[in-house]
Amino acid sequence: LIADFLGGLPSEVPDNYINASPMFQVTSDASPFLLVHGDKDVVPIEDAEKLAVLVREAGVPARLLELGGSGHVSGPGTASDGRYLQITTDTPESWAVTLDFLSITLGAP
Amino acid sequence: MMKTIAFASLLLLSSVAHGDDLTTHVEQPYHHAVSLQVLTLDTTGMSIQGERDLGWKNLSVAVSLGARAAAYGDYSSTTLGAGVELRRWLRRPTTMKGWYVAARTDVARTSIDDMVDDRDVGSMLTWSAGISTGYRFVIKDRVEITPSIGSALVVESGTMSPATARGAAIISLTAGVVF
Repeated sequence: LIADFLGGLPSEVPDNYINASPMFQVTSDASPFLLVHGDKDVVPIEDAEKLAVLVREAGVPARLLELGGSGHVSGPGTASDGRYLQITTDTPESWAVTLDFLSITLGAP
Repeated sequence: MMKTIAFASLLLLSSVAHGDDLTTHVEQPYHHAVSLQVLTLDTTGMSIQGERDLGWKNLSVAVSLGARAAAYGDYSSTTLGAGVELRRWLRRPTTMKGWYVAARTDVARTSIDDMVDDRDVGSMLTWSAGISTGYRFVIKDRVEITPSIGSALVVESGTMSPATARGAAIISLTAGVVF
C-alpha cells in the first residue's frame, strides 16, 4: 500500500520516502509537538521517540506520551479502568495530556 | 513481570481453593469464583475479580478491583478502578457455569504527572455502564475460563475538561478458580 502510494520501494524512489517522512521535515520554525504513541502499535514506537529527539534538537518544544498496551487505532474501542482490552490510544491519559498540552501551547480557553 | 505475578497468583488461588477430590466429575454448583482479567495483563495493568452466587434466581455478583500504569515517556499515570457486575446464569439448575448475561458498572480514577517539569497534569474520572454476555468453561471442576463480549457507555470527566460520553466495546477474558 505504501509502495503504491509513494510510487515504489525505498530503494527505487528514496527521495519520495524522505519527502514523506516527518523526520526529514523538522525545522526550527515547526510548531510545538505532542506525540502520542501506543507500544502495541504496528508502527514502531521508536519512530515517535526519534521524532521527539529531532524536534527538540531543532529547538522546538516536544512532548512524548507513550501508552503501554495501546494499539494503532484511535477510536471508541476501549474503556479505561484496566479491565478492558486496550487496543486504541483513546485513553484517559491521552485526553488529559492533550488538553494540558493545548492549554500550555495555546492558552486556556 | 506482570504475567509472572498473574500466573503465580492463579497457582496460589488454585491451591488454596483445591479442597475436593478432582477425580470426581459430578456436576456441581459453584458458589464462588476468583479470577484475573487476562487481557489486561499485557497492558501494564491488572484486575482481580471475586464472584459469589446469590442463591436466588440464578444470579451472581462479581466485584473487581483494577490498577493500571499506562503512561510513560515524558509522563506517568496511575489508574485505580473498581467494578460491580450482576450476572444471570442461563443454565439450570447449576449456576456460575455456561452462558450468562450481565449488567456492569465501573468507576476509575486516572492521575497523570508530567515527568519533565515534575508537575501534576490532572486527573480523569471514568464511569462506565454496560451489558455483556459470556460463557464460563470449567475445567477439572476447579479452573474457570470465561470469555465475554458486550458494549458500554463510558463517561469521562477531568480536572481540565467537561464530561464526555462515548460508546465502547467490551472484550473480556478471565481465568481463575471456582469453588
